[in-house]
Amino acid sequence: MKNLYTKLAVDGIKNNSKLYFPYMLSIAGVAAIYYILTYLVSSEAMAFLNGGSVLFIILIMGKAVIIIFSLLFLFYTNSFLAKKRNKEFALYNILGMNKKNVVKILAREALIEGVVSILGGVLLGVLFSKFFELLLCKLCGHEPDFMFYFSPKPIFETIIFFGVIILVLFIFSVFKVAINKPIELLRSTNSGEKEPKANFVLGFLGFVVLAFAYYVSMTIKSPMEGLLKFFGAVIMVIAATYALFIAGSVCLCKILKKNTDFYYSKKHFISVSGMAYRMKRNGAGLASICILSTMVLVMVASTGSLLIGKEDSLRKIYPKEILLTVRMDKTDNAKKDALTDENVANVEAVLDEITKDVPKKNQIGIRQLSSLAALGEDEITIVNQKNRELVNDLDISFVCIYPAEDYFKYEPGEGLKDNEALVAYTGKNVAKSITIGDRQYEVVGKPDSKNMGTAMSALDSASVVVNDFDHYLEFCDDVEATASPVSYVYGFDTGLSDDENVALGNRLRDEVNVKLSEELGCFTTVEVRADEAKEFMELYGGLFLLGIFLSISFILACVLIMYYKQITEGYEDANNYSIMRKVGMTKKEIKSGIKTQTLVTFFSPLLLAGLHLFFSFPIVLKLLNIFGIIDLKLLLSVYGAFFLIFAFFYFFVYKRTVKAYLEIVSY
Amino acid sequence: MNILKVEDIKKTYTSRMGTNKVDALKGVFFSVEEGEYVAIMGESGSGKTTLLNILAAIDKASSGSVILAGNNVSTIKESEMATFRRDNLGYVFQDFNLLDSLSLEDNIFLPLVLKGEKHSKMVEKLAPIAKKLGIEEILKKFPYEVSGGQKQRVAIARALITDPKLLLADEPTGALDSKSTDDLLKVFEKVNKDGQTIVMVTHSTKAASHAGRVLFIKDGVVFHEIYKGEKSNEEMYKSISDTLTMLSRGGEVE
Repeated sequence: MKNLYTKLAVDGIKNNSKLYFPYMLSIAGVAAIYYILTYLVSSEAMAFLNGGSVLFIILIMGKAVIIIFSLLFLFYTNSFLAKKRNKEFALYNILGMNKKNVVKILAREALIEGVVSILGGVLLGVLFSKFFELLLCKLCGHEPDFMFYFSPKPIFETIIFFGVIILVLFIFSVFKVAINKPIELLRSTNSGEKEPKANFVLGFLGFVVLAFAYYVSMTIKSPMEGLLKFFGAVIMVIAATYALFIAGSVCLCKILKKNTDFYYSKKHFISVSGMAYRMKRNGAGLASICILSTMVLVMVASTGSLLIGKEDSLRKIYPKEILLTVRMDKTDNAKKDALTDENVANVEAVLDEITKDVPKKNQIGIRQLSSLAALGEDEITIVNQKNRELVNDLDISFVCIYPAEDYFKYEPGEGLKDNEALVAYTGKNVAKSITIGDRQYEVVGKPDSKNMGTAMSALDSASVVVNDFDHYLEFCDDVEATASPVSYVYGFDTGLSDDENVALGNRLRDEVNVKLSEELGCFTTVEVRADEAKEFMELYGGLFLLGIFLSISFILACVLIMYYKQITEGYEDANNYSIMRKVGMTKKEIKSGIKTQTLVTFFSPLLLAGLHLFFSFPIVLKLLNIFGIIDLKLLLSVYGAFFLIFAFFYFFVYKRTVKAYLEIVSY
Repeated sequence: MNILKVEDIKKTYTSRMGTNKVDALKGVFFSVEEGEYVAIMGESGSGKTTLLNILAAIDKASSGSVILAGNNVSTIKESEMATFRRDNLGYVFQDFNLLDSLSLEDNIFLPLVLKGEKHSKMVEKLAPIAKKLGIEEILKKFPYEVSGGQKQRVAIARALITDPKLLLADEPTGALDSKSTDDLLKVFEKVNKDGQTIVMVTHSTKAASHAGRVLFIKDGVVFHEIYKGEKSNEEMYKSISDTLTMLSRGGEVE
């Protein structure tokens, strides 16, 4: 008797291999990802993940997401299996097997599934863990370590974690068997489903909301505004996607049906009439897939472009390898008293003295005055106590004013006339003529950030170079502007290695503290690009890797859900296709009909995801600006590349599904 | 004129290893005149379903020929079978075989859509048939909304709308109650009176008694046949049951 249960369990899995194989493969897939993440976090080779680093936190968070996701996903796919198997169990039941016996079969099935898929997953994980470890090292700019470390702890953790999941799924199926009424299960499923009703109001609403969300994304002006409106737009898009798939699709089918010439043709007749039913059953699933794939694509594409563009954005935020910013004033000082020529000369002398042994290239030394300001196309309003109330909070950003005298010390050029200015905004255009505070200028060009030391801030900001620097010092004092302490920026490139630069930075920090703080009373910050680069690499590298992991599991989920949906439909539709055969439809016509329907169900979510992606572009670009990337071409090509990779993978699964479907309905 | 001529049809099923051979049909001969109404009877396993499938070009005979309206069905290529069936045959099934996702009207249009006809022409063709079958009122409904008898009449309309040379029916009354069965047999008679050739496979003596001729199949050959001639349905019913009794005793007839 014992052997019989095992035999039934093995046969059950074998006979339903179309359902079980992808299921076990997906458990193995998630288990492998889980193992790799656990391994990376605990790996000795990754000693630089010293508990508190950004990367460590990212990986831990990623693991949490994977855990939640795999739970949801496995429950979902398991319910597909349960539906199919329960019919068989109902038959066993009627043949005289009691529910206890069925549970015994289920237990053996779960055991086989669990052992094969978890061990497979761990094996897969072990095989790929070194690869991802090296990849992560490379992404984060650490020296790769080619030694193979083997630690049993992550393996046990993975086995235990997924063992528990399988156990829970098993208990779940036992529960289902317990409440089953066999006679209901044996009854045929297609006992006349009502024709889906078209909800035109909901469909139309979805359309309008989607258009509005796209409009919002297209018209976002600043990163701040983007940050505020982003979530609103995301929620609108999600709601609209569901409305469109659930109601809009059925409406579309109805409209197509009304067009008799279109509807009553060999090509469209079966697919259009079947589509309404399919959409009614699958609308919510397809909408979820659409949203999942949009999220995956946005995530991977943005982290990918951050990573690819990291050198660029690093250079933009830190234009000099070594940068010292000296604050000249104490808080109660008037600005004009702080930045006197004499003070500046003293500071410069000290800095020259302590850096005299350092090879210096592209050196700059420039005074800077920055203030809160409202940036209009032809006017910069310096925010002060009086006009504070009048300015919209959203419009407030920064302006940095530099003296032309300092700027042109390092830039070949003739300097500026008194009524001329160099003006640049982040991500916005400037008019030909501009009013700054109380004076008006002709805009004759844009300043080059490499001559100013500090880059354009990530958020909206403006850089201005004028002759009247002293005037603005006085002006800010007079109107009591909301300005930062004035400062002197001293920076240079060394051409030394990263490690040497870091060491140099540490030495400078010690020395300026003594010489500038104690002797002159200034506060100095020393920024070394090499220091920042490490943080950058860890952050972006970690995010990107996580993006890859999450997208692998999301893609796995997407395509598997599609696959299962189609397969279940295949079982339900098999009878319909045999009817069509008998009525005189050729094999070829049936095949092409199946292809069209599957194509539409498969690719409509991808198509809408592509559209979402396209319209998300402006808002994502603005948000990425916060991190310093503004390279439009890069983002666009990364987006495109990931979309193509995704579509390619998707297409592959589509092909497999059509094949499996045709086998099921094989006429 | 012969519309259907079946000559020496044999069908042998061979097990996968080729060790076991089962002869389902051992040489069937018969022919059907244009406008005739023929019923084929036989016990389960007598080979009548195999025969019907071969007539319908769903299955292929091992040897012999089926000539339908001058075309040798057995020489038609696999790829052209479906088209041939669509153009020349109407098929009525025991379990109706209507598509749940289509309205009854669209179910009837299905073969015409496959043929590529214009919608206006379909509507034109449907009108007289719907009237004859009494289904005009329910055309816009869906299969789950109507009774079995109505479904079967819709299925007949679907089989007739292509104006087939031969209407094949496989146990058309098998899934119906006796009232619907009577209605349906009247429909068949009416259709036949209008000139439609019908070949029906059935278990039901009552259904067969409406036909103009009944063929009995046993052990893979045509064993006997009865012509209705001037007999009433009741007299025909009696001769059929007598023959069936004889057959089941295994005795010779006359």
